[in-house]
Amino acid sequence: MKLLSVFAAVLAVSNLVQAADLNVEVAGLKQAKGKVFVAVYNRAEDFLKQPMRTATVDAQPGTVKLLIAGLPPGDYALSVFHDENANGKLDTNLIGMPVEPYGFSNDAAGNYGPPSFKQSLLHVPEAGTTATVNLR
Amino acid sequence: MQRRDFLLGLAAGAGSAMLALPAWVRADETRDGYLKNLPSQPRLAALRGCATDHLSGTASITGRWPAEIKGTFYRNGPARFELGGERYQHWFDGDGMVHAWSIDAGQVRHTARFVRTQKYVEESAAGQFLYPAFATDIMRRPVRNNDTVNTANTNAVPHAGKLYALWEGGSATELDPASLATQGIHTWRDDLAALPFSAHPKITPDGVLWNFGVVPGANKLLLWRIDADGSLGKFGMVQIPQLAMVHDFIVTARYMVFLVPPFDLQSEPHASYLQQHVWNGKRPLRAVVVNRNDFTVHRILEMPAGMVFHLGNGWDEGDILRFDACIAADDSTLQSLKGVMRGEYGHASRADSVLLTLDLKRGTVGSEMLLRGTEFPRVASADVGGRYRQLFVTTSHSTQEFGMSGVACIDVDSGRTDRYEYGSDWIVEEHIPLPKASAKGQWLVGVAYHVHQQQTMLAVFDDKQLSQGPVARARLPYAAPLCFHGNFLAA
Repeated sequence: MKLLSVFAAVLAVSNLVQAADLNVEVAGLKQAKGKVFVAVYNRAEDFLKQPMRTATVDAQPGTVKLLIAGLPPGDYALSVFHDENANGKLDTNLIGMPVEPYGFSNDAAGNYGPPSFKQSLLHVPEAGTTATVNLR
Repeated sequence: MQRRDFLLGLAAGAGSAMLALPAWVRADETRDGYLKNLPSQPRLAALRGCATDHLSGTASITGRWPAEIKGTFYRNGPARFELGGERYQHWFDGDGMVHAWSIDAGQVRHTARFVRTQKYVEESAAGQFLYPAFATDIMRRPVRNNDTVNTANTNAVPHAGKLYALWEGGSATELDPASLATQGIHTWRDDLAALPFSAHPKITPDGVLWNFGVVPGANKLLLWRIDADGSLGKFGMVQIPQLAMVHDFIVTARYMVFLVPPFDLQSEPHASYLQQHVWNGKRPLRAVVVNRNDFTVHRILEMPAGMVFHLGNGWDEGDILRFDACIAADDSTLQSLKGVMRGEYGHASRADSVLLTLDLKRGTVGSEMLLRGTEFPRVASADVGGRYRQLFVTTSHSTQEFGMSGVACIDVDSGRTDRYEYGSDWIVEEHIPLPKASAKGQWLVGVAYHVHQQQTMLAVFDDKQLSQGPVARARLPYAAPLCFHGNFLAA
């Protein structure tokens, strides 16, 4: 019995540390100025409000790569933007339309607004995955 | 792998590729319909579209072109309707091409170039349409904001040394006035980037450019004043309930007036901008009167349902506002301009020029008929925003045929009309007045397309004798795509 319980404990610990790597490739950068921000969401109610993880990388023309390491396997939505003027936010005009490049996982698009959490969901398996987001 | 196996593999690959052609290579119903119907609808050949990036030619002159007219008549209209075998479903969808008719010493030259908008450049590189158009639902690449789908296809407006190609849903696009090369999006202030800037600004005699934009989904009416030096003078935003597409407006000494047609907005996935506009003839046509000095709403007045694209001009006297507009019973013209892309022309209700009188104190609206079957109203540049007598319009003698066929000058005071009918072989475009050097009267200059010769011509009339026909014509050896609107820049 003692052996079994140790074995169970080991299993439980390995479950806890089970973590996957999400490689994010952000494509379609037009210039090297500023930074690229990636936000990861795991709950619909937090989507575009409260990311569970964020990552940032310096911009370069073409594609940049970011690593979101150690995610519990599961479903996530990503929002991405290119902060061209490095002011730390996605600039919008007076009526709220983004004027800097941005994108979502699955390249999801909304109907005259941002896509839903569900439209943007991608699955991250135990083995990890790579997701490409094209900036629009 | 043996060479033979490789070839077999290649053949097998080609076979499966043929079974699964990309959507845009498949038969296109709009294009097929257009090609099939064209022989019986020769007028619609004018909507074939332009397959080359630019046009240029020298016109041959008949008559005596007035030597005093010296400058460039800029015009704009949609000219790319097809890409990768796919044809747009509405005339308003096409990508803008800006034309320059250069007039000097009685000689006339024509050049035209596509506006290299982001949309035009990306779609040309991809070899297919990527983005949604006014009435064609295409979504092959996601849209960042309104400027992603900006076609810059409606008007060409010179102001303060710059030349703008205008659409109505996004930014102005700046062009080189000499070469027509695209310089890019013009942003007056960072937070105003990509906001709607209509294709019908009004330039008052003091050089100030007044404009607006609509954001129908958000019920926002945007108001712009660009000062005579080209800088932003003032920007404003007001909330108008049930705001829908608004194409044009008038400015007076104290007011800006917008006619909001009774569309109900229905937002559904995969609905084009046009499809979201559902006509509701039970609701009124509303006149939204905005105070010009502080951009606040003065009053909203109601009149019977009607569809309006264009207004000519207006003035205010105390609490009375008077202006002309081309009003039709419903939105059938807007719908019929879908049919023309399939080579079909169905019945569309005619627009009539009326003179409206708004009593701002009592809230009443009066209407007098000026002329039936009109479009493209214009007044002399010196009259914009003030009292005027002469109103120039294009006229139509039949609701059964696509396009206008004549021009008229209406005396707004007496109702007297002087008109010239080009004839049924012509499609007549907007004509604009240019002041004579004598300061007595106007030359009327405009483009017309000859249906059978498939050639485009620039004509000039003397406003004192419109019915006598053009005093001179400048005919190109080719057909230039039809345009919507344009303006003259004197040299």
